[in-house]
Amino acid sequence: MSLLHQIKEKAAGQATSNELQQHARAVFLSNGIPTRKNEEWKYFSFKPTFDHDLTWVDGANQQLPINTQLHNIKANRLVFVNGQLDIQYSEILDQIPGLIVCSMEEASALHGAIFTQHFGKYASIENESLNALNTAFDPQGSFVYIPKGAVCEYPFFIQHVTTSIDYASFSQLRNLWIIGANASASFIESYESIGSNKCLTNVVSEIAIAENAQVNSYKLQQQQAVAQLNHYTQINQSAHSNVKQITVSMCGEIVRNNLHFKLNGPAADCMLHGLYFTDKKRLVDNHTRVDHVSPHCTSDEKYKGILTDESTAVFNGKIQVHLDAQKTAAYQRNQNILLSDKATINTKPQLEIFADDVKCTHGATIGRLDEKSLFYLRSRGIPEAVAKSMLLKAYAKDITDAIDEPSLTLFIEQFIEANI
Amino acid sequence: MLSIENLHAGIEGKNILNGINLNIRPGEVHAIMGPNGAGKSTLSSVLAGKNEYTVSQGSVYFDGKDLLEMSPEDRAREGLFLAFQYPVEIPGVSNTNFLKTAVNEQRKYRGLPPMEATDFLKFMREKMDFVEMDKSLTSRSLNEGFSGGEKKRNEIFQMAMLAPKLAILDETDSGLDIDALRLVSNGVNKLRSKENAFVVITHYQRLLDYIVPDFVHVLYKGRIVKSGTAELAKELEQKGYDWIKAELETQNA
Ligand SMILES: Nc1ncnc2c1ncn2[C@@H]1O[C@H](COP(=O)(O)OP(=O)(O)OP(=O)(O)O)[C@@H](O)[C@H]1O
Ligand SMILES: [Mg+2]
Repeated sequence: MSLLHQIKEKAAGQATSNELQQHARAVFLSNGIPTRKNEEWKYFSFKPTFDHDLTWVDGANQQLPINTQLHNIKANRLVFVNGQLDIQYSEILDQIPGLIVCSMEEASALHGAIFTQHFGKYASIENESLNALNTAFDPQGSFVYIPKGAVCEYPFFIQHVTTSIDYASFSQLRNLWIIGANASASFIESYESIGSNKCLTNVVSEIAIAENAQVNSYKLQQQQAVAQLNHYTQINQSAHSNVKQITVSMCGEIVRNNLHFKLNGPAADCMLHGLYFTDKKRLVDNHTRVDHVSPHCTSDEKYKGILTDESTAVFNGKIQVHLDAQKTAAYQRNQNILLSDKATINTKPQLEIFADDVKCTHGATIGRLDEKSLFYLRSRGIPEAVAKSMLLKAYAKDITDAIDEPSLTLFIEQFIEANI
Repeated sequence: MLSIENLHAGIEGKNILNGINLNIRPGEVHAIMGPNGAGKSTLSSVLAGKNEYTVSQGSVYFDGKDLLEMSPEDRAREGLFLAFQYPVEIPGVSNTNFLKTAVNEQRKYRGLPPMEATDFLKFMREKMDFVEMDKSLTSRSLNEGFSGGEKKRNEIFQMAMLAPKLAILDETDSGLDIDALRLVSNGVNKLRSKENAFVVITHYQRLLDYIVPDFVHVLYKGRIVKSGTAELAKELEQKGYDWIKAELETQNA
């Protein structure tokens, strides 16, 4: 049975009294899966995947060996398998009064007031059918509530593993992080999969950041070569808050990111950086959007790609400067290195500026590995493959160096060494 | 050590080297002079293995091995070194890390284990003193923002680290101040031994006062048109290249 059919049956079979879910189901059922006719989905669609017979999974029916490679990072760690918290691998180190770190189920059951105050309040579902689908059923994933003024010593490491060991699978994940005023915290997310069957994971993250809070957020996408990932992230920032978001797409058959920032208060700053590596026939699509709603905000966007074989990458960066957002500074760069003639990059900036006193720059470049540099290194006895990986690490360095977690930087550099 | 026979090379159908013959034995220093555009840098690039040039004729043997068949990295690990006329800047690759990789790849090729980190640093410091290189340069990105002279000094520093059998210095003297010139020359002279050889490409006799060559060759229009001793360089310094060009014309007439 096709996945789409299963979803419809599930919606019909599990009546819900939750108004948000009811509405989300209605939106999803009327809009369906976006096709390539939709301007936002110009280069590919998940439609064929939804026509496949993927089995909807939630939770794990067996203990799985989890990849613990990054568990050397001392962290408040939550490990989810198909959305279900695996306590064996999870631990909370920070002892902060009022701090809540738990699963979505626990949050809605035990912290209902905070949960309903925030859940579904940030990520739009109206023109986002896959968000509607995500919102249409009970959420599974991580919930983090950081109280006002809390300084978290350890990063929050959220590891999401999806499985497609015995059959092709579909799962949905949700993250809701609420960061109080003057608080500071770091997040590391890792998306992984186990199994060689096709799988699709549909993720929605909502991150609400109050005044003057500081957040670093690093996202690693390293699913198996057969896995497809759709990740929609909405980050809302209040005045004087500061966010650094770095997205690293390392593997997976298809990765689609929608990263939306809303700068809702004056002097909110965000940095959104990304690195993507594509090979074979894989595709990574980064759609970003920064809404400058308030004045004196800065957004600093830089995405860098390394593409090889017959792979494709898409970068679509929208910056919207609203009428009142005077003294906005918005920077956007997209750089690409193509290692093969058959790789394709589609890059497009989209600037919509309604205020008059703003500083906005954007630029995109597409190039190859510099032959002169490569020859220089080789002429000193460094083999071609090593020389290439040195140059690619150097190219990625401004992004990897922006990660304030040395073991994570090293992990990504080792990935470049081993895979390119 | 190096024997070049009737070497023809060019780029995109344009002939640049038109039959070079040159023999270099261990312990020798050869100077190559010649007007701009004669093909001096092309010759060094072809020897180092830059693949944008196509060799259409001739052969090059390095210690009995067919040099033209080897990859650039193998040529280097066999002991060939080129100090570039225009060293490239490589942002994001630290000088130290680059050198460590180069030294250890060379060791690997020779069946030696990688150098311990502390040994490497000691070794590097030693060579840095040798060319009086500013310590701050090694922690920076490779050549990035280096002054012209600093880049040249860095080339000699790399040469000292890699201890090649045959080093080709392509106008390493241009852009050097007088002290640096003396320093670089001292560096070369200290590295000179019975086992290794140098090819010094220069426009100025001045360098050859410091590094006294055994042979001086004039490269013109892709060929070595005259060879002699250090005296030839002095003659060129006084008279320029016109007399050689004239000699050639009468020969050809
Ligand atoms: N990559 C290239 N593409 C086109 N022409 C080239 C290229 N490399 C060299 N040439 C040409 O070949 C000729 C020889 O150049 P080369 O750099 O070898 O001269 P040179 O003797 O080193 O000169 P100089 O003393 O100015 O350094 C020049 O006419 C140059 O323009
Ligand atoms: Mg030259």
